[in-house]
Amino acid sequence: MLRLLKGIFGTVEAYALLDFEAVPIGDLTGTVQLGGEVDAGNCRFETAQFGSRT
Amino acid sequence: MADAQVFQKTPADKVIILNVRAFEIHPFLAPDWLDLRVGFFLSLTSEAGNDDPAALAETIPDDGRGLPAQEHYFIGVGGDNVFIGFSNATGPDPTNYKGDSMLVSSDAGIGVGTDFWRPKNGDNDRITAGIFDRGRLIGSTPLGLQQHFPQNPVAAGGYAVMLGLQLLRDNPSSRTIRAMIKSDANSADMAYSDTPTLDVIRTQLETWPPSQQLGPVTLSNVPNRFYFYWPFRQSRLRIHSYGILKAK
Repeated sequence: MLRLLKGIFGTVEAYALLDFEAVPIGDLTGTVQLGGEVDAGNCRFETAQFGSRT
Repeated sequence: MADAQVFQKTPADKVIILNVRAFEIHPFLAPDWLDLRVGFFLSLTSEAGNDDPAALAETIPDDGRGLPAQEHYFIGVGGDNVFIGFSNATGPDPTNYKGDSMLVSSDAGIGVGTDFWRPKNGDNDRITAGIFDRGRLIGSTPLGLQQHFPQNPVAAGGYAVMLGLQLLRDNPSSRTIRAMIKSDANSADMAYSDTPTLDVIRTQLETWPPSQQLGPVTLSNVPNRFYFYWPFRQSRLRIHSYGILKAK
């Protein structure tokens, strides 16, 4: 997939794309490394954070 | 209690469902950008069901004294004290935003209908996007940036809507930013899909559509994270996928 996207993007400098197919079914709380990112160049996702408002 | 859950919507689509009044913040690295595009596929479901877009209408009433920020939705990008994107918050008072915070049944514009759910501010349909710094809405809020979440996925053209932002600046150290948001007939919706995949986001981000401009404004910080927050108690925000593309 990564190689395919790099080829398609061609002139685009950088990207990071994320779906959640790699994330296990279940609950998420606090700081979570989601995983499953597809990226190229110098774009990246870092660790996600979940929380709630009262 | 968990803040979110992961749900298998279809065999090819696993989604994050934020619990009621929960948020997701997802920092990203995209250094030295001049043209940064972000997009996300989203949908709504009921408070009780993971795949139930019915009966979600709700009003969080403003009794005239304004509502705090957490009673409004925020979907977009942010940084320390900064937010750019979709919201029904008005400012300028950073602790009391004016107008009812509403989710209404809608057509694909600003009319009555049953195919979509449309968040809005009770004072004015146009208050659906903005640039905020230190809690204050700065710059103008253009017309025609309403977002529509599928209520009837067949009629809408898909169960998820894609929304996006294009951020532009003149040099890679500048904090003076303008944001472009797709606009067509009172809609910022970029696509509807039953396959809200990375490939679709990529395609949409590569060719930016005709847009309305917010700013330019000089911000205290440059956005470096996605921010998703949904304030309503009868509905929950589902996040299917998202991405960033540094075009320049």
